[in-house]
Amino acid sequence: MEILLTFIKDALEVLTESLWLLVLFTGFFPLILTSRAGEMGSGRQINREGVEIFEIHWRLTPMQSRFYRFVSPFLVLLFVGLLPAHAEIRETSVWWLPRNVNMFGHAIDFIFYVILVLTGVTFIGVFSVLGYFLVKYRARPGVPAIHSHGNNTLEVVWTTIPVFIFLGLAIYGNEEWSRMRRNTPPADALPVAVVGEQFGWNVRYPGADGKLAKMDPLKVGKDNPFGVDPADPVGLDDFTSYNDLVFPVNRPVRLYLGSKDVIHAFYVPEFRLYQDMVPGRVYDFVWLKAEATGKFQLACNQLCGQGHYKMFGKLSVVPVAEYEAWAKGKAPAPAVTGTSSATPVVSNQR
Amino acid sequence: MSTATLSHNASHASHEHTEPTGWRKYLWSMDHKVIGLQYLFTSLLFLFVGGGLALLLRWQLAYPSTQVMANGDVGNPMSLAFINPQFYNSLFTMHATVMVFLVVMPLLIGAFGNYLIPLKIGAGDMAFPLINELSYWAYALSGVILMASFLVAGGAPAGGWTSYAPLSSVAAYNNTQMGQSLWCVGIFINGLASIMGAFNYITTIVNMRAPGMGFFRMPLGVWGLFITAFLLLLAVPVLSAAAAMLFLDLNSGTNFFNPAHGGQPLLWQHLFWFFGHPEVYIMILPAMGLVSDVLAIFARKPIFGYRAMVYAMVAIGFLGFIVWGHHMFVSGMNLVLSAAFGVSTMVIAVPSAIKTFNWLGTLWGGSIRFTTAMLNALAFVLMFVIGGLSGIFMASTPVDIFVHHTYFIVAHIHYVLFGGSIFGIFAAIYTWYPKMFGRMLDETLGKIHFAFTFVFFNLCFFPMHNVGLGGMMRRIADPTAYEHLRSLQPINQFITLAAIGLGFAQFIFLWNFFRSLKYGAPAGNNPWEATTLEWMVASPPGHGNFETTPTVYRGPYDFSVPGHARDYIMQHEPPISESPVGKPKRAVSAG
Amino acid sequence: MLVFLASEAMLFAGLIGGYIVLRIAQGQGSWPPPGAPEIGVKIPPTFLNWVMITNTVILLSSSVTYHWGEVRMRKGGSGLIGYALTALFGTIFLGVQAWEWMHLKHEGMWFNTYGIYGSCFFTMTGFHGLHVFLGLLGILMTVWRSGLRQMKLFSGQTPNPSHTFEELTGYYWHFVDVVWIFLYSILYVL
Ligand code: HEA
Ligand code: HEA
Ligand code: CUA
Ligand SMILES: [Cu+2]
Repeated sequence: MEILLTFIKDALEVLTESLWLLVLFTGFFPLILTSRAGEMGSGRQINREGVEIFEIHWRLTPMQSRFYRFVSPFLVLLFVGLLPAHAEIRETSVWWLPRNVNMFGHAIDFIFYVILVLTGVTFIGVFSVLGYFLVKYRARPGVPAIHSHGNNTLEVVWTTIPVFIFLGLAIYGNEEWSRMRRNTPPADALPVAVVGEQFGWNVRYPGADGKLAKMDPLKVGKDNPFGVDPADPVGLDDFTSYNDLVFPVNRPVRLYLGSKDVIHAFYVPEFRLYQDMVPGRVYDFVWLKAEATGKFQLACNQLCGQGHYKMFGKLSVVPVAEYEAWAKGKAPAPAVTGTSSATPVVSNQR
Repeated sequence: MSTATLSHNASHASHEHTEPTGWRKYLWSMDHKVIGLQYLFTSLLFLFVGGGLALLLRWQLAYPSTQVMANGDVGNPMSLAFINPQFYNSLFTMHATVMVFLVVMPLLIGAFGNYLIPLKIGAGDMAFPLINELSYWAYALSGVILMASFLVAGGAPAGGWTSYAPLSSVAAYNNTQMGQSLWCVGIFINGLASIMGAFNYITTIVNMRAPGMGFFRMPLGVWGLFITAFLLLLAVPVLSAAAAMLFLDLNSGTNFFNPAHGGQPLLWQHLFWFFGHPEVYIMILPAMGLVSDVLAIFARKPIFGYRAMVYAMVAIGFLGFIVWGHHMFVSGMNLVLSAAFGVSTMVIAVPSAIKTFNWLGTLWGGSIRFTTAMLNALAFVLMFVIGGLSGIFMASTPVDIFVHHTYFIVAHIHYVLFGGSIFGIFAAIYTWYPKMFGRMLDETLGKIHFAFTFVFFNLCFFPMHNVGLGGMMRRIADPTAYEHLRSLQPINQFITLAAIGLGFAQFIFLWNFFRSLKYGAPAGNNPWEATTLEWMVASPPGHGNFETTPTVYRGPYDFSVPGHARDYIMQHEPPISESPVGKPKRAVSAG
Repeated sequence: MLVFLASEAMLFAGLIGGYIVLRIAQGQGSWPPPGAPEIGVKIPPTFLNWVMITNTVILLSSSVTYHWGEVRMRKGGSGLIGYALTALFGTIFLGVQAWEWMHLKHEGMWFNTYGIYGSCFFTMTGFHGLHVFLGLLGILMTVWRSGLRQMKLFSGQTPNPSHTFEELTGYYWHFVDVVWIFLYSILYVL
């Protein structure tokens, strides 16, 4: 009972918060009323062949047509227009793209807006044409429909135009895609290894030599999340952390992503960055450059089991000096904790 | 299998089998109409199961129960304590599995495919009635098996409807070995049902069209189902193979998907999406076809560009097989391949564009009757456009890096699947209910149902675009666990409210549906003044459908032909110049 | 029937495609995994090789005998011998297949050993075996029908003129054979 009351209270709160919803509803009741009005005169009739049929009045009442003309084009626009009024504001706006701090994010945002404009125009076009037709060509007594089977010129036109638009989009997108994912990261990038496990993040940073020990996915095991060779001299000064990432600002960072058990994904919305981490391999092509300092959340964004929903880590972007101080304070980690041989990851082997 | 078919066929030919009556009709009848209705009722039942699961998971998102406080109290007084994170994962897994495999596919293909194909092409029944019956029972069995997974130890599968390995393939990772295995079995059997159905439809359409019913005189509804049947036939077995491999991985210790022993997790994704992408078109093509029929009927106009519509559907079916990689842009498959899949995905939007513009063309110059069926069909067009346009964002590889696996995708899914397929299904139900039951659905209730559904649907799913762009991940049991999502919570609650509204709106439909079975106004043969063959026979049609095989003289959409007293000419009406017994000429196009 | 076979073909295409992906991902030298029983064709052939080659020949000749049966049947005969031989060959094939499974199991190879090596081999031959089994049921049915036909012929009556069942079973049987050619080449030869 109490729950019910709380729910009603909450519901009312949400409803009043969303004034725009009420706006919608006031537009919505005329629809019901008028559709009733249009339907009232149903009854039995005799058709031309003398067969008794059930006839319905098809026509839109003036009320209805006014409703369609007025409300329908705005229906969906309302959502877009009024949502911000409803949403709370956080550091980065919620209801829309969050702040972007990654060098590559600009291109992604730009393409996003290009597509938004294209699809927006298309959508408004389709919506208005449809709305117009619905009103203009509603059934009226004595006005027969045009008998037309189509028009080949039109057909060609509306096939070719989308072909060009879509091919353009695809080519442009591919260009950016290669820039982000297929070009080799700069040589001076800071290498950072991130290996997911149920349910947390193993992170490995290079020590003074600026290099990470080589990772071999076949060696990844329970005690050796990074799959490194304990004898590898490069790895001796590496240090690790758990669920805690620190990136220096304005310096390229090259990620080495992997997973110990199931698929996880590296996702930070403010970085416009997502990469699946499929076990059995190491991804070395993802790199980024943070352009502003701040605190963010690294989220696992691939379903990985019970604890998936809270598999997150801290990610902060700090000035270079601060990063170096932080790195100095960390003790080198033994390359491998526990045994050095690869313990097989769980399987159904019996 | 062949044995069964053949022996039945022989008996079918030799004597008109007597139709069982009463309840036995629903067990033994091999009449395609009865099977269609069985599919209809069963999948409507599952619609409510799937919707119920959706409402539960929405409730959890609005009032999460995972934040257990120090004293053991659950943080939010509104939360449902029994929804723990594992159960939440089961909820959306089963929600999607039910909706996709037990609701949308059987409704469109099982119910309308079975009911309408023979009627629309002028055939007495399906080519293989026994296989048809088996297909229904296999479907029902798969439903039971999938539902049973809620009861077994470990609970229902929790790996998402996509069941990505190795989470799904290693029991120690997913804790739902039994449930996940049942999922594999259920999907396998469901696949058998689909394949049997598809086999039947293709044979029926190729061999059993009435005289004069050329391929280009078939209504678009039949075309949609015809192409869908090919997609089913080629895509579903791949899923069956994958499900079998997953089952063996789980239960026999094989290592197809286990990287620790040489397997390839990405192999699962390739196999799944090789099926999965054609699958989404399987769920939209029949709806596109049926909606085209509905639009033509209520705009009183021939379909604009009939041939273009057919070719567009063929193109969608064909291209559908080469775009599966767009679900895997960021999975780390070959990066050049990703780029190629990006291009093919953009290309597949073109035939959809053609269809959209031709629908608009059909409305142009029409005499539009705003029946409930028509309103739903119009909603289909609009909502499909919104869903399709959001697909363009994801088809662009760089943008997908950002929106992948966020609520933006969830919004896309529901705009195409609810806004598309389900509105299409509603349009079809409102149109063909009179044919199926001989009574009209109530228009007033229907319009109220439509209005509520339309408004709540948009209120529910449109904001999902926004939360997705705001960075909210899908498949998380508790968004408030994340600092950067906490301020989204009011929107999440709002969405849940709208979802509840949407759910309750469906009760109006249910009420209308069952009340009208008894109290609806009698329909007559052709209440909508439509042209295709199913409207020439009684509602509901008798066993065997047509007293004599009809002869088809014209295309499916002869509406508003100038110089004709009536604004529609049915397909079996002979041209005035030709004698009714004259042999029809070679099938000519309608376009 | 062709439609249905297309569907079946996709099932195997899925399996074979999966196998190829897995196999390519293995890289050089690790196929077959060290220690696993040798099934690949060797020169000179091992005992197991001979067995499987013979078995393949037997399965393929069963298609020929089936066709022979059909030809006889169309000419008005019963085709009994052809069909019976097919059934016999099919059974031998399955038997040998079962023997090979047991043999390999004995050698320590099973669904869950040697990584995906065992997984692929047993799953693919298993699926195929299942299809051969289903086909064999059809073949037994044709044998039964041709037996009836033969009896009618003996007693001077005209046998049932419908050959659809034989035709369909034939398609299926040939299909299963063709699939075996693919499986044999990728599992044993390549
Ligand atoms: C019925 C189901 C259906 C349909 C029809 C579609 C249609 C499309 N889908 Fe969708 N899709 C799904 C169901 C569907 N999808 C589901 C269920 C998933 C998620 C699976 C999961 O992960 O769980 C998904 C996921 C999905 C992804 C993966 C996203 C990700 O996980 O990161 C992508 C990426 O490219 C995509 C793209 C498209 C495109 C380009 C179309 C196109 O076919 C759309 C074409 C239509 C139009 C474009 C609109 C009309 C056209 C015009 C009005 C013309 C003019 C337009 C312009 C000039 C812009 N879909
Ligand atoms: C045809 C397909 C279809 C349909 C119709 C729906 C319908 C709905 N879906 Fe579904 N959904 C999917 C297909 C579909 N969905 C897929 C494929 C996924 C991806 C899953 C995955 O990630 O693996 C998904 C995921 C998904 C999510 C994301 C979960 C997550 O990622 O964490 C959400 C969240 O809001 C959601 C909500 C809804 C809602 C509110 C409805 C509403 O439209 C439902 C409305 C309700 C009804 C129509 C029935 C009303 C019934 C009652 C009121 C009776 C109550 C009865 C009982 C309790 C028995 N869906
Ligand atoms: Cu790790 Cu989700
Ligand atoms: Cu897709």
